[in-house]
Amino acid sequence: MLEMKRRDFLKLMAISSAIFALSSSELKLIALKEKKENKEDDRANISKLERRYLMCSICEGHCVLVGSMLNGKLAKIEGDSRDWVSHGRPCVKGKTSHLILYDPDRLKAPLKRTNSDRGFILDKNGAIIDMKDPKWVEISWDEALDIVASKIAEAIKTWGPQSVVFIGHGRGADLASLIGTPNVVKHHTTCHSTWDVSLRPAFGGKLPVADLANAKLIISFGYDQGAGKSRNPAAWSFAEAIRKGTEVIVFEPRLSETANKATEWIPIKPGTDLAVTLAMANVILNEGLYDKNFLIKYTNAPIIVDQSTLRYIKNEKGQLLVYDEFFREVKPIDEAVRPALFWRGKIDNKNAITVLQAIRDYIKGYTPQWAEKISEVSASKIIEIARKFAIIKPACIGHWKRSGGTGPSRAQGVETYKVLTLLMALTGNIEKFGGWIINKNAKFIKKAVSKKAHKSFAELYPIPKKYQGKTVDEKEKFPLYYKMLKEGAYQKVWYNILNDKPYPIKVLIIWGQGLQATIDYEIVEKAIKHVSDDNKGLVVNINIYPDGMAVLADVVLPEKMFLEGGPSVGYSESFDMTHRINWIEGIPPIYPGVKSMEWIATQLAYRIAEKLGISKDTLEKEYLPESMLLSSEEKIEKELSLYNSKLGTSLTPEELEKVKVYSVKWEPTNLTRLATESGRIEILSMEVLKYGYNPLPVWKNSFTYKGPLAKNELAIISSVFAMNRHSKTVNNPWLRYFLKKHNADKIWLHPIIADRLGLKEEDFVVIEYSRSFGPQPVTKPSFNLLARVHITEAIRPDSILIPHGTGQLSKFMSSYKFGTYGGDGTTKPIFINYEDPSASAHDQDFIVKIIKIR
Amino acid sequence: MTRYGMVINLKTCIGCGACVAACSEENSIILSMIKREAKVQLGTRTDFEVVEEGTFPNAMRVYYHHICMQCERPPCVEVCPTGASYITKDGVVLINYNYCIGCRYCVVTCPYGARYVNKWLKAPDKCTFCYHRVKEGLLPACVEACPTHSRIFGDLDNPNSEVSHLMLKAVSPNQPKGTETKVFIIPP
Amino acid sequence: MMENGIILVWQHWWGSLIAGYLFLGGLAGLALPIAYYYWIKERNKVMSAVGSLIAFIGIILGLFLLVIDLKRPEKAYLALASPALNWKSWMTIGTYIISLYTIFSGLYALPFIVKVPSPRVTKYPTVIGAIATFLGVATAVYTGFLLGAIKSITFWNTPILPVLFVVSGLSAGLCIYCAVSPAVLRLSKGFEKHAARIRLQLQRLDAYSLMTELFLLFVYLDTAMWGDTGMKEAAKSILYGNLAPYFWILVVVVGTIIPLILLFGYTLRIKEESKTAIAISVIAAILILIGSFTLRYVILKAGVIQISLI
Repeated sequence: MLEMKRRDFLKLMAISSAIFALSSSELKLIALKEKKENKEDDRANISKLERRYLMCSICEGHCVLVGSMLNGKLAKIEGDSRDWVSHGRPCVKGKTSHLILYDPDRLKAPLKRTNSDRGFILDKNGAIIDMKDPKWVEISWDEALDIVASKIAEAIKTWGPQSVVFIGHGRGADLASLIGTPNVVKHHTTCHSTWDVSLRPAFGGKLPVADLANAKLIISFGYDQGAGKSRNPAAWSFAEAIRKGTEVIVFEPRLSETANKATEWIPIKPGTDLAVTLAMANVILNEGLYDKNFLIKYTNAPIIVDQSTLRYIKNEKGQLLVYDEFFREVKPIDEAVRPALFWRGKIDNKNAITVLQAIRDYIKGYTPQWAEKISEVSASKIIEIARKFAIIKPACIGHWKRSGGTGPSRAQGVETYKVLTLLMALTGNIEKFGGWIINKNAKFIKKAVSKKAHKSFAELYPIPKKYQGKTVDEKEKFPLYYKMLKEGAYQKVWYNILNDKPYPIKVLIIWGQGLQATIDYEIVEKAIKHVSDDNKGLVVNINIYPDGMAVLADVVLPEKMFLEGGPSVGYSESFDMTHRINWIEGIPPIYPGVKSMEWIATQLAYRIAEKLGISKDTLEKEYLPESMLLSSEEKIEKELSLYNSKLGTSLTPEELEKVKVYSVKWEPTNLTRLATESGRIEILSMEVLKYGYNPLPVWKNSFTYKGPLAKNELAIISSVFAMNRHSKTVNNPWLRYFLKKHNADKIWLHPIIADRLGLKEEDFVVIEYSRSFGPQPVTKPSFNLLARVHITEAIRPDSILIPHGTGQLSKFMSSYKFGTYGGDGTTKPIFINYEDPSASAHDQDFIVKIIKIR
Repeated sequence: MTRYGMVINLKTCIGCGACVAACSEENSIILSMIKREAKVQLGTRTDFEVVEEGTFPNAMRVYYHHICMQCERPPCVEVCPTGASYITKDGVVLINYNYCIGCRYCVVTCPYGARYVNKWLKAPDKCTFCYHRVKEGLLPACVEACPTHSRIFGDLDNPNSEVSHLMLKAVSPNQPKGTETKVFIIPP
Repeated sequence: MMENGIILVWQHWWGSLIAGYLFLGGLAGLALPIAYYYWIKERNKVMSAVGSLIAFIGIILGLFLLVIDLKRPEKAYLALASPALNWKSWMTIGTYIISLYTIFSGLYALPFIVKVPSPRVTKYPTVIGAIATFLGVATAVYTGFLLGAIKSITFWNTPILPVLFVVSGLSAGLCIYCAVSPAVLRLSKGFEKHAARIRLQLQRLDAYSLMTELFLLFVYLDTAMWGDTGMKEAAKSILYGNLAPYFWILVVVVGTIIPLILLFGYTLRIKEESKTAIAISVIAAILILIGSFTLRYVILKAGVIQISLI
């Protein structure tokens, strides 16, 4: 056939040469190419590229990433199927993280600002639209470290170690410990504090994980981790559930991705999930749909408490008591034959009552009809769902830290988690496949390498007496929270720094923290100005990007990106019931100027010590924490031995380097002896009671969303989209491409509101955040941000969705003004509720005003 | 006979874009082996559109996937004058760049808009089902990357393969009739 | 663009170069048959020379546009010589037709230009002309089929399109004749007396073909308005969308109405040959050519692929 073609071709040559001049060499070429047909088949072999094992650090899942190197450059990232956390399928954020690695916007050398005038540029509506140029100059590491170290040393000497504050995800904790400052601030109160404060006491310090894949019914109160936020392991198990045809019911004011995939989306009024859960518990208790055996065997439901104090009544031997229905008398819990769930009587002249009786009495008034009025979910629907939830087993309520109605974003977070625990216990869905399974390791594992300094500089330069026991984040005012989490309440820090409460701050070391992660930008700006200008102090930002926070800081130190560095050992747990160890080969730093946080902290430690007159030998011998002393090999060995003990393995570093990834599954076990007072699941927590908080689930109204709303007032909902995580990932152009498709660069409004305000798609509006809820208005009664509008049917008419962290105010980044001009859900006026045991930020418990720009 | 096909399950697709990113990463490497600076730009060989449907409270979002349907009777192959577009024995439509003159007749003809002009190759480009991977026994990059297992790839002629099972639940976007696609979609 | 679950992708790969190619194809394809008519009927060498030259130059120019429009012009020879040549493709067939037409129009033009005044030669143009005429009509028809074969663009995928293109090619071919031939005839010895008659003949036919074209065009757009989403969108964009200015001003008014007024109002009434008549013929010709080219351009740009994934 080819022969034929060639002859045809030669015949045609005479004709075609009139039109196309063809040389004889080209003729030969054609003949050659004929032989090599279907070139596609034998293209270069992609699996022969060099592969490098890496680990993702974008979310807490820590999936294993496998990079393919092309010409010495990371060109592609895949997963490894032996990593049961990601199932070999890392999410789009991790998969495209090489775009952050090679991002030309990244910081490459230490920077110092030369423009003393810093802050925001406002438009005529008072909305933040830009930032003043810091006029950075590049400085050497030597100079940068010297500036920072001498300022810290000076602060320690003249003011005391407490005047140094570390803000960030606990980075630099070793340096803080060495300095001796109590001010290490984390973001828990905007993230997962309610989770820890209500679930940990109930489960004896552990956290339960929702097993979505095996559930037959999934109920979500704003839980969107599986589909919407694409926490990768949850995405897999949620998809698995959908494939099995699991019924999914989602309560959420906007059509989240989970709601989009659900059997039923119930657009509940924002911040009223608690009312529905209380009504559900009410129905289950009234209709006797609870799992009696489970409650008697594994929970403290039958245990007798004092009706007035709610404390356990114990006999003289210190045993907990129950009412035995068989013997018809009060008996120690271990001797009872048939403990009663509901009983009321008198013990030693005290009004005694069983725990479940107390709860039932307490939530008697929370009827579905009552909940209907609050939540706008019909009573019949609540009853239907409650019955379904009690009957279909295994059933599971999805939950993960900052989820809608349960997280610290709303005033009712702690209470809602209490009721969720109650609901799961009532239906006996705990520690079973398809329900909640208690993670034996809890979430925060003990650090293998100690970051605690043997001796701190505070011994030489102690904290002044009047300041002792006081912190800038007021964590001492939240004892239960402090016990569970140790580190500070985020949202009050900036306000306190600004007002020198409880003491003036001299050095502010901020790790990362794009402005989007903070509160009210103008307060952050003023606090930074106050430290730097009024207190003659220093603000340092350690960052990978020149983002908004870096623009405000005095000195910016470039940190390496998480793919750089190594080798080291990685570990992941608590996801999809998997423990995993992995070997991280890492990539050598792309820019020679970037350093790891450990290196920066250690360098600073030596320099500060030198300036304080402590010799190098003394410092190493007496002061430095393990984390600064050990070599990387020693660290690997220590970390691996800890992880080995978690997994029950005995891998050596050499073996791990060879196998790269090793995962084990954990399974439900029997529920004997939790670390609670009763040793059981405490649906009425004694721990909570001990710290003076009410252990019963109490209905709490939203702080701001009570009455009818004014014409342009809307309730905030915030969400992270599946292809975004934080202000750093937004700078990834590919993720922005996907975010744009999902309209995540705009705020979402219902057409009714758009009509009312005369808004069209892509119109600009000012979002006005009232400051009337905070301590004192700083200057103006509100702070304003610009945003573009997306009009959609996928949201309640009384709500507004502000996608998290898509905006960027720093013009040094390509995501500059991409999203809602810096606005998002965590951007809120300063607020702290001292009655909330979790120090919650309540950052979605707000009403904002929308003003059309003309 | 092997007949490769794909099922896209819109019931589980969360519209994250991992498939699109994986495609671009993988095939940019491949193209760079043909021509050093050549790339597959994001959202060219495959992409998705987010479409909101219905009204509150019955609204929903659908993610329409955009990919070569690997037609059994591909119009692009029919119109290609030089035979650069061809269909392999296992049913994958490919382009032989040695023969391509860049007339874009195939690009205009594709009823699924699956072809585009690659500015580096100066020729049409399209999804190849990652033929280079499939030949090595690997899955196409997008299939391997999907975090929710919403793209499923396999042999349609093998009655035991996952695709041939899922195919029964799926619809074929057969438009205009008769191209006989080998990509099937399970509607949400 | 998105409508009713259908994604509409506007054809943006083919632009003015291809429009020019289609236009020249139609024009050149039908110029030679007219010349051949005058050869057969009255052995008019001048008309044959003019016609074959218009065809030859036009088609070469068209091919030139086609080749530079290719993304890989250096590989253009593969269109004729690819080892895997696809005979099912209209483009392959068309390329061969056009290539052959180029050759035959050149061969046909040869004796009239080189002046081989031998009686024996009369048979040569008759035979070659017949082949060339066939190929010329085929070329004009092919420009319609090239688009018509595209199933994805339903707006193009109709039988009216090739007819429309042929008629439009005819009017363009005729008008160029009207502009060139009287002048040439007046200058050629022995043919002066034919000038006015031929001009009137041609212009009458041109006027009719213009009217037919306008009629076909509206039938075409009207059927499209009743068609599926893609056709409707295409017709809408032409009638009152982004292509409307091109269509109404350049195609309808400039390319059809004004030339018709000029033809019926002036040139067709002047039975004698004059400089003004020639000048107005030239103006009318230019306007018709603009209209004819813009018609191709508008139809190309209105091509919309409608993709319904579910």
